Amino acid sequence: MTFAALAGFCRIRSLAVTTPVPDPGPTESRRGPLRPWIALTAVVFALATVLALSWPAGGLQEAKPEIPHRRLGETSAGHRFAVKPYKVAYVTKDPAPGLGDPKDGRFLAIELEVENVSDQTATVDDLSAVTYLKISPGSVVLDRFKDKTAGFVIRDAGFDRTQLQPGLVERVKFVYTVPAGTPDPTSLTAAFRDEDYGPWFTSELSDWLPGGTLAIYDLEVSR
Amino acid sequence: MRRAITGVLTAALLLAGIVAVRRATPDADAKYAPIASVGEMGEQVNTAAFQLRVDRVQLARSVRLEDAYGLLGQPKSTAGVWVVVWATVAATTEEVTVQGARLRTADGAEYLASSVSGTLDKTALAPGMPSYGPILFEVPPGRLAGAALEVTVHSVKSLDHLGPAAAVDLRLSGPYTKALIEQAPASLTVGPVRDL
Amino acid sequence: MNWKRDLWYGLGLLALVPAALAAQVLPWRERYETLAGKGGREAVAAHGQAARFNGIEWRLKSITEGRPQDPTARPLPPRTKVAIVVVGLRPLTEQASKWFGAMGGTCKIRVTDAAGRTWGPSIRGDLAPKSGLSPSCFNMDADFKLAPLPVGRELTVQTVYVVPADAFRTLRVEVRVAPEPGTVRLLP
Repeated sequence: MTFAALAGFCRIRSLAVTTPVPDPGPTESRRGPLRPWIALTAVVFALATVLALSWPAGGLQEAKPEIPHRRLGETSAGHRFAVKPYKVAYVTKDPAPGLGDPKDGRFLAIELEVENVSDQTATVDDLSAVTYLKISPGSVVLDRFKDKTAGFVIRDAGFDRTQLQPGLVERVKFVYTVPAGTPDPTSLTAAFRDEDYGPWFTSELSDWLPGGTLAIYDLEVSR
Repeated sequence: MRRAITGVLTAALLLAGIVAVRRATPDADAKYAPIASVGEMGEQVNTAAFQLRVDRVQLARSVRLEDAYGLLGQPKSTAGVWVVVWATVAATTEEVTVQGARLRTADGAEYLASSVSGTLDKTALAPGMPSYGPILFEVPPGRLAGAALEVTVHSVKSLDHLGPAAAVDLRLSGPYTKALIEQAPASLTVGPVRDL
Repeated sequence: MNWKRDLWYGLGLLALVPAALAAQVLPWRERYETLAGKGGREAVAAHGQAARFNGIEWRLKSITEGRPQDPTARPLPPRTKVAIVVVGLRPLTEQASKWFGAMGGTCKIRVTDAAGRTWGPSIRGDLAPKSGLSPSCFNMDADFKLAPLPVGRELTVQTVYVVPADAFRTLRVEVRVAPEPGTVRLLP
């Protein structure tokens, strides 16, 4: 409020000294031949404004193609990850036990080849957060946070590596528990969501924002 | 007619001025970026929270970390190449951990230090008690030339806004980096963090 | 005399602009200090006297040098000393007495030197002989549950620090109190 008062205060002072006396002379005689120019300029400005507003807002982009359906061994590249699932298995012993001996249970293990194509370090959890899984028969949705028991980079026979560095291709394994009461899964539908790095609406600071679906994989579960 | 031309030219000039000022304004990420103190390798870089001196850089195809008791860990392999940066760090006034150690490559990518435990970027530092140790990075060999080390307090960028940072160029020129990669040993034993 | 009037307007601006900036920035400074843990009131006591803060009487009893007991334990960093700090707290009001039993009442006892560097308590438990004194500002009853401290009873707290040898000479104690932010400085 103080700044507006200051600005108005300065402006009033300068106007009092410099407003010129308007000249009433030549306007009358120019009205005839000028009208087409006015109309043309108005149309051009209207079109230019529409274009100028819609171009940065993305209104001139092509309509997005359909979401591709892919199978095992095919690669999908987004802005953050390029993924290629190569193995899906249903096992009855925990493949990545936290402590001690592997426990019995019903587990779904997915192995993918992943490359971090962004320019910042990511983790395996960043990828599992955008991996949506549904097992059949029954079209049961797996909770990608609560049903996940392990996610790690397959390296050196250990389960503790989780980083995906830019430009490096790693093999990653995710293990999920199959919810009780559902039949043994024979096929898996995996959807990967893309992410864009850009400014938030509210703070203008950049972060990974959700994008469109990258691809949907229809996979067979092996035993 | 002349007034019209002057008007259009002034408008075009002002528009160009507006566009130039908008382009030159830093975006929010640059406005809130950590305030970096720049230094050379071997030189002490002082920031408000910590002091850093980078001593040397080693490359290896796989590493084995030795802990404070002399026990050797399992070999750790990588899809790229291991970059081991040996540095001395001390806290200035309060305890700090320099978890935001990143390697920034010439193409603008940032590689956060490896999450293996026992490295210098996971060690609690107290004022007046400097530590010397390794910081490990995994980098594709083709992107290593021209890399610089950037150290901040947090590994999550949003906690580092306007915070202290140190930036050190690692003097990895193209031919030197190529030679380092060719001569990188198949296995390197990396010692623990030591109190100085 | 136009320039005289302009001069008055200029002086007015010179006074108003900093005032406007200050009005925008100063409220945030207080919030920043609270977040950084530095805000709140301060109480200072020197030469072993007592400082009164939040209804509690704080007294620095001693700062002594400790020696690690076990020769086979991990060595300390070079050129450092172990400082054992003993502080006495005595609640003087009922509210202060209840603060000892409340879960939210915490205090961080740190040491600082003349240069402004601060250290927190060491995580090692083997640096000082077991004294039976409380390690922080909470009072436990016989069932190891938090209990209020009766008014007038003193709680003795012992904390151990590893500090550089050159800082040992000028050590003083700084206690950061929560939940109301505040600092108690106890100078030896």
